[in-house]
Formats: sequence, C-alpha cells, structure tokens
Amino acid sequence: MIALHNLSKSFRRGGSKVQILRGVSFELPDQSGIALLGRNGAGKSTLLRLIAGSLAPDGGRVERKGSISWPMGFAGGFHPSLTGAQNARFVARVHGLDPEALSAFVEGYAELGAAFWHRVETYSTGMRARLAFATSIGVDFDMYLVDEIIGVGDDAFRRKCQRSFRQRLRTARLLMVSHNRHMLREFCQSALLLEKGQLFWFPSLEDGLDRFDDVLGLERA
Amino acid sequence: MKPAPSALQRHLRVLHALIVREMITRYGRSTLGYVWAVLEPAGVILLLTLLFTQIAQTPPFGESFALFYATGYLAFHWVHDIANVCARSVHVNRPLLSFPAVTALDTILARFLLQTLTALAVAALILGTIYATSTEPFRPSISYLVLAFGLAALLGLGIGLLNAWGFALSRGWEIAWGVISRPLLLVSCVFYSFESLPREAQDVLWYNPLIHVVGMLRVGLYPTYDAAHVAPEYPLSIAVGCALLGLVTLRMARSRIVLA
Repeated sequence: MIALHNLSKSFRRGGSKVQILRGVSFELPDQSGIALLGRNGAGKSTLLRLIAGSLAPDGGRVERKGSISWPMGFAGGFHPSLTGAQNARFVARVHGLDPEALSAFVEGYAELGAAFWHRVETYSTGMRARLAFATSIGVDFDMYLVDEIIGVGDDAFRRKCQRSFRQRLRTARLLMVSHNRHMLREFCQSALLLEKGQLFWFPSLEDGLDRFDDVLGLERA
Repeated sequence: MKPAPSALQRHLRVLHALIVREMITRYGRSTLGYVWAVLEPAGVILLLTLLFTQIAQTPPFGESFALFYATGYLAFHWVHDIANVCARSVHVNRPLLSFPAVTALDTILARFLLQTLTALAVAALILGTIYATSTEPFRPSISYLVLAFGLAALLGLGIGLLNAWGFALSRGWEIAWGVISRPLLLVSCVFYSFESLPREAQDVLWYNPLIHVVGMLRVGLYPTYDAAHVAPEYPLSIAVGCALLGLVTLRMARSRIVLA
C-alpha cells in the first residue's frame, strides 16, 4: 500500500523553479499494474524516487506498507569499485536476504559470465542493466517501481525478463513509467497521469492513454 | 506480504552492508591495506623519534622519545583520519544512495565505526610495542585514555559531518580543506609540549581543539603530567556544534546529493 499525503516537490532546472507536485494526496489503488504517464520533464522519475524514499519531499509525506523496490531501469545503484557479485551481496544484506543465495541467483540469471566477478566500472551500460534487473528480480519485493526498462539485452534475454516479471506480478504490484505502449498494455490495467503538479487517476489504461494523447496534442498545437 | 522489519533492524542491516562494503574497497583491494594503516603512523612516529634524538638530550617529558611523539601523533592522527574518512563517505558511496534504504548518514556512520575500530587497534599496537621495548614503567590511566580517544572520535565525526556535503558536491572544497588543515600538525602540540610555549602562543593555541585531545592522551599515559590547560568541554562543544551544523547542511543538500 502506498499513499501520498499532501506531497509537494520542486527543483531548479536551468535557473527556474519547476513545481512537479503541488500538495498531492492520493492512495494508490490495490491494482497489480499501474502506468505512470506524463510529459518529458513532468517529474515521473522524481515521483518514483519520492515513493521509493531515495528523495525527500519538500512537504507532505509518503506512507508505505510492504517492501518497495528501487526505481528499476537506471544502473545508478551499483558501486563501481565493487564486482557484480559484491554488489548483489550488498543488496542482499540491505534487504535482509542471504548474500550467497542472491549472488548465486544473479550469477545464473544475468548471464554475465566471468564479468560477474569483475568490477562494475568495467561493465558496459547493457551489462549494468542486466545486473540491475537480475538483482531486482532476485529480491522479492511487494511493489516494483519501473523507470522505462523492463527488458534489456538481446531478444532472448528481454523475453526472459518479461516472463519473470509476469510471474512476479501474480503476487506483487507494479508502478511503471514507459514510453513503450506495448509494454504498458502488457503489464498495466490502469493509469496515473502526472500533469502540472497534479495526479489524475484512470481506472482504465486506455482512458488514461487517450487523455495523455490530448495533453501531448495540446502541447504541439 | 512478509512481516515488516523494525526501523532499527533496517538500520542495522544497512550499516552491516556498508561496513562490509567499506572493508572490501578500503582494505581488501590490496593485502597491504591493513598493514599500511599501521605502517603510516608508525613510520611518522619512528621518523620523529630518530630526528629528535639527534637534536635533543631528552624528550619534553618522560624518558622515551618514541612515547612522547606517539602520544602527539596518535591523537592528531585519530582526529584527522576519522574526520577525513567521514567527510569522504558520502562522496564515495553516492551511487548507493539511489537505494532508498541507504542514507547519507548511514554511509558516514559505517565509515566512522570502521575507522574508529581501526584507529583503536593501530594505537594499541603502536603503544604496546613502545612499552614492550622501553624501560619506562607503564602506569596508564584508563579513564583518561578513554576520554582522550572519545574526544578524538567525536571531534573527527563532527568535522567529518560538517565537510561531508561539501566533499560530495565539490572537488574544490576537498582540496581547500586539505590546504587549510595541513598546518594543523604544526600547531597541535605534536612535537612539543603546551607548557614549553611562550604565554602569548599558549593564549592563541588554546583555541585549537586538537591540543586538548593531545593533552588528554598525555595525561592518560604520563602519571605525573597534570596538563592544567586541558578543558575537555571545549573540544566536546566544538564537536557537537560541528555535528549539528553538519546534520543540518546534509539534510538541506539531500536532494542535490542524490541527483548530482
């Protein structure tokens, strides 16, 4: 369960202040998949970080029950001086899991070969994303926050990621940011639109996407 | 849904994970890591001892040159190293701050604990060696030793907290701090005693919190030394003041640190 209470957040972008949340109160419905829609720069990634707790709001608070993933998709959460294995063990310790078990799972899942035992600073972006994805699948979260990426690497690996995700979503919840509408339609049933500092709820994903198209159309017009 | 861990449990997990992570990169990369932690202060003390035995007949007090310079340099080294290690902790662990469970303060506390234990072990090893090889009787006052080390640790933590956000956001800050803090070694009673200074110098240097830590350590190791100038409440209030200011600045800079 996630509830936002009078949440507000702004930051400076190029010298001017951008208000991405203006005192938003909202309880996320207990739905398995929710798409988070919004224009570029509307603050979708920031909202995910506020929900995860890695960013603090300017005002209000986020109420959380159950375990929540870090926003998946950016590989920023790994320490470059540690190996893939050491990073996986770090994540396990933080979440109270057996480090060896998680490390073994990630080693098998990420298909990084010998690179798993090398420092992350030597990884390509794709390798980092594989490590990040395998690690977040290995930790059994009650809610997953996804920022753009749900599958990485070649087609076979991407299909494996999506399969694992579908399986995980039988019990877990998902809040997802993606430009890929196929992906949204596959995983989400409803939508949240973040527009001008307010959140709008759409029980049907298609209604949300239609409204989002209107917003984008207005922007172009 | 799994039973939720308590806030304390979550903190301890994160601290444990961070301490293991620090041990891997700080000391694990080369097997010399821990050896170096002992060799660096031991080398400086040895050098000072060799140098000053050539110049002077006796150390400022006691009989052992090694013990006198060890008391000076160890106290200085505790504060200096703990402060620097704490100050750098947010910067070096910034990628881990995108894990919601990990806060900037956690990274500082983890490094503080590890560095404090290391400093304690190194000091025990060096002082133990000096006493094993000297003829001077060993009559330390444990309570003053604990007080000296506690003051050093708190002062290091306070200064580290104050510098942490600056080190994380600007490389220039770290360089500037290095330049400012370098002369501290010369004005902290490491090579001489406070009593040997002229009155005018004493009146000014008294405000350097490090001389109180050095003095307290000497009181703990020289039974006849009274160090009338030492006022533990002075370095303690500096430490608490720095720590509070550091916590406020860290909180204010939180978003910038995570997003930088």
